[in-house]
Amino acid sequence: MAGSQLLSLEGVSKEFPGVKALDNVRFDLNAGEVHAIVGENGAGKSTLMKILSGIYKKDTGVITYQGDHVNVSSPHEAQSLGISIIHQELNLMPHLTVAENIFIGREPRRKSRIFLNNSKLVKDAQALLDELNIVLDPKELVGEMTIARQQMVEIAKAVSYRGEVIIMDEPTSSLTPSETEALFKIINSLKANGKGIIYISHRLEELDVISDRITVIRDGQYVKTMKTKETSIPEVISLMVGRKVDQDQRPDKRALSKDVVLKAENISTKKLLKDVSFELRKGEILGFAGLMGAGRTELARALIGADPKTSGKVWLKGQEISIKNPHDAVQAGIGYLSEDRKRYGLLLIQDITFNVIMASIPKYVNKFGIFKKGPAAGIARDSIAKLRIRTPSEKQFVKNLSGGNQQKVVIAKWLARDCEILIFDEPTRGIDVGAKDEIYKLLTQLANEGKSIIMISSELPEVLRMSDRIAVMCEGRLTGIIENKDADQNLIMQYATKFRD
Amino acid sequence: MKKLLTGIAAVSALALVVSTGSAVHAADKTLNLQFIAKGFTHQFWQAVKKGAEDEAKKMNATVNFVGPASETMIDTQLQMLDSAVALKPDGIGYAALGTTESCSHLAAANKAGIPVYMFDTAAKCGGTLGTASTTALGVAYTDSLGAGKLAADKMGALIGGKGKVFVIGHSQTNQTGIDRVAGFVNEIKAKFKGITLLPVQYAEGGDNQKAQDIVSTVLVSNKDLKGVYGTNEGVAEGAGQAFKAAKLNKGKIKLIGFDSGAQQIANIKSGLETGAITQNPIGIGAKTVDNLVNYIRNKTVPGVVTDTGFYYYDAKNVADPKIAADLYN
Amino acid sequence: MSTTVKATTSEEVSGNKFMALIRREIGQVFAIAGLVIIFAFFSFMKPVFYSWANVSNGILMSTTVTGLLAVGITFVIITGGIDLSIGTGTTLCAILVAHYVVGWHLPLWSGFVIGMSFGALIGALNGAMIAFLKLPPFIATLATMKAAQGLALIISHLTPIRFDTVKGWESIAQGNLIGSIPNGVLILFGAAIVAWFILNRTVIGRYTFAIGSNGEATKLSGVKVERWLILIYALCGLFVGLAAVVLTARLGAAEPDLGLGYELEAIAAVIIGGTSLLGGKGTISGTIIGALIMAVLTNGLRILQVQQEWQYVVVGIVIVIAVFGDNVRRRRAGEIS
Repeated sequence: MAGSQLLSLEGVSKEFPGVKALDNVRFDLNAGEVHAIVGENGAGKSTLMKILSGIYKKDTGVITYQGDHVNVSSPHEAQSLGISIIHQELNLMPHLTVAENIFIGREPRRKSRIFLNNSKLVKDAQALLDELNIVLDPKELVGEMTIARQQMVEIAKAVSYRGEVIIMDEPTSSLTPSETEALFKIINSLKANGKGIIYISHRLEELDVISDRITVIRDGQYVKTMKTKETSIPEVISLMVGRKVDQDQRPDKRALSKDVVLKAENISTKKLLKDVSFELRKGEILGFAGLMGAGRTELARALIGADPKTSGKVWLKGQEISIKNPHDAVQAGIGYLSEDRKRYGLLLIQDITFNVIMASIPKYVNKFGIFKKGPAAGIARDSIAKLRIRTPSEKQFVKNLSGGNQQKVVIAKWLARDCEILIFDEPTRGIDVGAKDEIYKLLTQLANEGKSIIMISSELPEVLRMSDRIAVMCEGRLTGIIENKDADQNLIMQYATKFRD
Repeated sequence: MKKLLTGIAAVSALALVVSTGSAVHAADKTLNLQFIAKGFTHQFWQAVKKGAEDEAKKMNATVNFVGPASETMIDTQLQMLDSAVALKPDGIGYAALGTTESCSHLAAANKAGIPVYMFDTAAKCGGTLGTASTTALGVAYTDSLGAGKLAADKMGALIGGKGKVFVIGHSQTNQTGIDRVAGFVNEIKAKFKGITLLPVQYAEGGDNQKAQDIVSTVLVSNKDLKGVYGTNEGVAEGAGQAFKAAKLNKGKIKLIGFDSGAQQIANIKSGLETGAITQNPIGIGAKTVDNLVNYIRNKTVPGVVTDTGFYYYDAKNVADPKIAADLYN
Repeated sequence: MSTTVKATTSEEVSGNKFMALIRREIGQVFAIAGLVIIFAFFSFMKPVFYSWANVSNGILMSTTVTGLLAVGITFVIITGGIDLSIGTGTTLCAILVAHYVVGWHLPLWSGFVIGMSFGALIGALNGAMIAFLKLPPFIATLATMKAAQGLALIISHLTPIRFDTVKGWESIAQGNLIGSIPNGVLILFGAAIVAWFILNRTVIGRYTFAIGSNGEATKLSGVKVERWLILIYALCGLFVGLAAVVLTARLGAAEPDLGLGYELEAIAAVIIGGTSLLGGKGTISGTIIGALIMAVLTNGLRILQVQQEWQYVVVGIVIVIAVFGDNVRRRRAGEIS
């Protein structure tokens, strides 16, 4: 399967002011293979990829591409060499068609060189899509397509440069299992065509299926390269974090209260949700599982009034309440931690203190509406200590924190507001394995302190590890609620695929 | 839009023909005149408008008086001219903002058989004005070069023919503004060798506040300044405010302004401003209507140039009825 | 990725509080340095430039109206919005102040109340259109800008209204309460201090930054973003109303056709002062420095008798240099990428 060597890196280092992001890293890629790079957030994967794609310049080291020493000094140069990258956040123009996106900047023109040749554009795109076995209409607008289909467009675009190396950064992070499967088919056909693929993912289970070799880096340093067949997920994880992590953990037995804190009945929305009813007990972690698009995030947003409900009643500690907007939800002590922290949770360009007090600013002003700096900084420092947020001080800008620490800042925001009910939407998305553990401990600690937690997660091991009970959704309906002791991955999947016929 | 207007114009023209029965009774018909001025909000144009409307009432005509929001909006004014032509009125009064840009638009009016008489500023389209011209029959205006010259003569006399004088203009793109400065500057250079002219500065659009800032600066850097000449109401009033802010003794520096306006008149009465040149805006409006109506009804060919005159006034003669008739608040 | 450690950039490294302050406010330090250099240059070229008469009447007084507008719109720009209506809004407020104070023979102080009330009303209207009708700020305030221009002409019957019957009206701008500092300048700096306090020490200031940083996240934190937006635009309007009072006092009259274009001068001052049009960042002191840079530059070029056409060109170039320089600095500091 593996062919000749396409690309190799030797002794690559990169330093940013005050930190060595990469230290003497090596890596190589053969034609016709998928070589995965894994490591925790901050390990240096992205820096490495940015050097390969010309966004950053390396300080030292040698890059050899198809036998020649090369110096990738700009994204444009990377492309002309034949190295394409598909970023985690897709870089497509939603108002342009599939064909226009694929050939952006290289549109075929008519003889005059002034006018575009649209029919050739569509024809070329169609030929390319056929070659890759991707079923897409070249004339469809990208903005109207699902993320998975947009990703197909990105892949076609990368291949259209006729490059030999394609870098994929977390390509499956927002795909459903069936979409992931379709992606793998395409990757396999690229492999068969002799392309080399660098594959970055947090989802280690995938690597078993798709990768040929795995390289682990940790703290900017090269750790080990292994053939996928000759290793195991626990080994990879222990290499990543430098210690062993148990994959099949379940929550410790806790004495659960019978008090119902939140009761929702027949919640429906115009688009998706249909008569969702459930109860949340004091000190409980209620997991919500389901496939992409099952309606879990929609349920959370409807509960907190961010999106309108068409029907449904909500009781808080036995009292019926009306939540029309997020303000009402916060007043009722319900905090929502979105899966997209940067967009819906954080003020990235502000400091930690500002973010921590964000939901409770009125508590930090005197009767004249004048802001009290001291207490605000105080609660921020307390939060840093309690949640073990790694930062030099509470004045640090939030965008300079790692994903895990950003998540802790969002948690701190709701704790500062004294929220009794916390809704976590994908609490560990984009957070590395080591920090995940810390978030899990924190959730358990919060539940033990009497907070009631709804945890939406797409990772079944996470749901099983954390939840006292597991609610499963499918197509906007609640298909079942399972006690943890009765649950396993198979049972959850059964409920999650209980489609209406 | 244009199509729509043309359509409306066509329909209304038809209605006009039908309702009046025959063209023989043209003399009895109320004439419809379209006036396009260079501005609208300024007091001066309001006075022209009043002159035109009052005269039209006497002569059984109606005047629709429009103008762009500012005297820099040439393209807006040309659109107004086009719309006026499309309406097929009996006559058009036009104050040229785009002195050359308007030529093709005026030719369109000529082609449609609509007589045009210009006011305040004539377009420069080659050839001469008059009945044979494709541009306009003529123009009723103030001789701005002459007015600037008069201001220079007064200034020279007031300061005894020597010392520093500063000119603050209100526009370096519009013809009237250019002429008022040029008439003044040329006369000083020719007749008063003892007077030093500081470089001309402009408060574009006649912005009082900007004029005030500019004159304040000039006062600071020229302690020996003897006179200031402001080319319109806004800049003259701004200069007056700058004198006040600098706490100058009244009359220490001579200030000659242009046009009138309540504040400027009050400044002249109080001695803060020495005097001003006034045009005859009401006369400009009235004469333009007069010429157009006589031409349309009686085929009386108007004069190619109708000079409506200008005067210097100061605290002594501001109340003189002959002067007061031309002043507006 | 690398950002976790890049953390160690600013104040926490240094033990010296003063140096930390300098480093945190480095953008301001550069702006002040720029102002000082421009000032020194003109003083060297023509000593009369730094005479108190020129500084007070030529520079500071010419900053008052634009400066007040710039202070007001700083709040709006920090929310990521824009207010194009402040120029003609000033005109409308000025006409309304004149209409009531002169027409009804009201006392001098009532002019402030009337101007600022109407200013706040216009601002609240802008805010409501943006918050509830979901119009983009550019569109909503463009509409208001046009409407205000028209209303000013209608209410005034196209005639300037003089304040000759109101005793002491012009002293609001030109009198001297303290030493030989013109009152208009005192009003500007007084307003700036109040604005600084509001922006940095009160709830509304906090929410101004929060909305500009991330409006969606702010809303999900339970903040009634719509209500605060209306208040912030109304706050901007208060300063517009105050600017209107100062303008009429400078001119001795309310002019119905003055004010269009003032909004762009105010926005330029805010931008030179380092406030980002993207929202979330900005300072009042920066805005004041920006307004002063514009005024010093215009005044200096006039004193040097540079041809007017070139004065415009120089101001344009300075805006580019100021904003570009600030971007370079921020990129170096890792504030933006």
